[in-house]
Amino acid sequence: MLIFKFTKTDNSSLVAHVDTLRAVTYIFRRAKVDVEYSKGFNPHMELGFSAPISLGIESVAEYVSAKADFQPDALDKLNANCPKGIQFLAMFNKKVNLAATLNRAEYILTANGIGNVIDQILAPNYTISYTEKKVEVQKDVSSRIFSATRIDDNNAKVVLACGNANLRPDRLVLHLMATNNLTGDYKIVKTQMFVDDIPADEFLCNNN
Amino acid sequence: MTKLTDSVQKPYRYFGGEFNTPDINKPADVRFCMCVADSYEVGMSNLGVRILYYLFNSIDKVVCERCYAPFADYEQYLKDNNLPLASLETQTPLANFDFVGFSIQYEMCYSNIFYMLELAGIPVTTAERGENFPFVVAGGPCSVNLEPMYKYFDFIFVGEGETPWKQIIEDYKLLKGTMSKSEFLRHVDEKYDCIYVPSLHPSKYNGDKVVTVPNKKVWWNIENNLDEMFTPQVQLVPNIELVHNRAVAELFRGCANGCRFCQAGFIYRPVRERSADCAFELCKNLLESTGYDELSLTSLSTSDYSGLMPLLEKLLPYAREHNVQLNLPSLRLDSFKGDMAMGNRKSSLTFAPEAGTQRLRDVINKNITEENIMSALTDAFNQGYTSVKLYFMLGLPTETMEDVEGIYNLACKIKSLYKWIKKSGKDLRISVSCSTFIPKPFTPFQWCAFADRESIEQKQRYLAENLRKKGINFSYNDYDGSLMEAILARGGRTVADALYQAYKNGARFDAWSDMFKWEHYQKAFTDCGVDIPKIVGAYDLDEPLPWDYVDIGVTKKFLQNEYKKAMQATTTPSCNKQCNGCGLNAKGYCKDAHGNVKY
Repeated sequence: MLIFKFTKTDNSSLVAHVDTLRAVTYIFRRAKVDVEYSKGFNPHMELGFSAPISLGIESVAEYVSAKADFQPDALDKLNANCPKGIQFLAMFNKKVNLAATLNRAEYILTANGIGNVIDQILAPNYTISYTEKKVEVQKDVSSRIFSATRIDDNNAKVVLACGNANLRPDRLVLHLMATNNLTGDYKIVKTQMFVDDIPADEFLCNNN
Repeated sequence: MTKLTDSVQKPYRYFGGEFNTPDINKPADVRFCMCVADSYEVGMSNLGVRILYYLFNSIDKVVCERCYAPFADYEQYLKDNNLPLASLETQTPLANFDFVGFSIQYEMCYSNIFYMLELAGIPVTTAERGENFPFVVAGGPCSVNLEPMYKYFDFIFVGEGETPWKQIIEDYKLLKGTMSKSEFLRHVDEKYDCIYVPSLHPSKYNGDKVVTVPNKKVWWNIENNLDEMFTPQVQLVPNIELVHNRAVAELFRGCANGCRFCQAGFIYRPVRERSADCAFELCKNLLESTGYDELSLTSLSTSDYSGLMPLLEKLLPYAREHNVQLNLPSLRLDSFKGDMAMGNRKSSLTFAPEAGTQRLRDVINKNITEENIMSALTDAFNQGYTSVKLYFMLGLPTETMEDVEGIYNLACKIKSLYKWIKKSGKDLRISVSCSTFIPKPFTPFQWCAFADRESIEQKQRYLAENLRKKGINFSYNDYDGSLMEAILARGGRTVADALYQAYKNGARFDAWSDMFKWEHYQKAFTDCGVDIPKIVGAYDLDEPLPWDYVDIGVTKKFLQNEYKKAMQATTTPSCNKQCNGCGLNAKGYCKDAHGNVKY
């Protein structure tokens, strides 16, 4: 099984997860990188993706697995066939369920003054509020926050749970902005993923 | 960017970034913004836009970008942030282009043209724009009668655009800066017989009836050779799901059948086929450049394509090898053969008998019999099809209640046929869909009246009650929407002011049945004194028609004869069987034998 690391930035960050699955399938088909098809009634390319990210979040650390044999020139072929914002960065040869295994992600958060208040999220029982399906939700998310670092006034770095136990960084940012009266637009970039404490790239390189 | 994603659904549709986007950043002397007055998802499937987009971008120092109608959330976002409507590719405001062109595929998008122009800060009328704004131009099938929009377009391109458009853009590149906008309009009006500049050709009306038509004969341009014509071998691949998310290959233009209600069947005459070899190359190139796993072979009547068998001999193995699903839309019943449905998923078949009795099918010249229908369906059911969709029209000329009962009877017979073949198992899933007949310019029915509300609604009620009892799904079009389309299709210059008024009253996205509100138009027509019955009623065969200035190559005499034959329920054979003398053969457009087919 091949694992590819790719970016989802620029215009492609505006594409929802379900549409990204399709877009990546088309990239593989254009690139003529052979991937096995399922044998069912509706044959589809056997691809598996890391956990979805919210619309508008840019990422330089998305992963997709493909049921395929090793192909040395696959990266070049894929990169010649990508739309704006998608680029393939690395290829690994390992069998792994990405969505279940890659369980943490690092994000850079950008908003006016966010660097100066990022410490707040490390408070015990840190609780955020957001609306889901038109209902106001209060949730203790402290167990899903692993680190928070100030970069400068307007930038901060956080590591949050992702996958089955997930914390959406946009909800965290909007809550922080609301509780601290921070105004203006904001931006989130996902910079890397982890398997617990191990960076995903390191984990995927290791063949054990 | 994230404020945008919080407030706007699927923002991607306003920014593009599709694979196969041509080089948009090259130095350019001419900038053209190609617009579709509908959403991104609908507009992206427009074949005409696709061709011209790649054609313009292939010209040295010419850049063509795109723009689609935004939904209310993005409209609000633009207003909140004080932004004008801009192109997808480089986010350039529409007002900064040399040309803003609308491809007009159907009448119900007119209100969105006002909507887009106003969001772009471009005055809607030619007169208000003067020298300072881009040329606002139009093309597409509706160009056969854009008189209802005459004062909003600087010029209208009539017919198929591949060859002349290139020349027009080259002309502009050469002349830009040396002449004013109005001088350029006079230039193209004189030079091109397929260009119509409404402001240069006045027209006189008495009430809502035209008295003097514009004094230029505008020729509907016909592309003569599909193999040599500019044909993009690539297609934009959007990253979001479209209405039609697949590669689309055009097999041929025109249709030999001459169904009397069908505008496309007359304006796209004669039949012009791509050779099977070129068609296969096109399919292969489109699939390879897009990565799509679904291919649609398109034309007005795919199974009439004389090269279908040689094409499928190559295409079927290719599709199997590359996991591609084939779609063959627009099948005619009489030419449907079981083997054409092939090894693909046997899901649903769609057929359009259009009318419920043989008499009415003869009136509309839909040359199929009940026997054809039953034998085609017998094949299909034996092949394993379990679902059938049937399309009909209500309100056709000469229609009586007996014809409507015929729709019900036909649906019931198909149901029992399935039972008889299958003996056991699940029932056939069958749905009947009835649109309302709309008389369109350049058809033999252009003189016919649009049916009145009472009769249409009575027929719809009859079918709804009876078909539902039999477990047959029934759907139909709302009368108001059809009436509106009838007004736009046959209206003249006298409705122009009311259309803008209706937009001001709130009309937009009229083609979306959930968004269309007849009240907006009703009020505008009353305020502007438009006499609706005059426009949608019957016309005399010899009275002037607002669109008489357009020449599609088919003579008025032929259409009149077809009208008379219709009233006697006499059919006219397909062009493939004999030449019926519509006028195009006489003009030298039918080169190949047997109605211009190649094989």
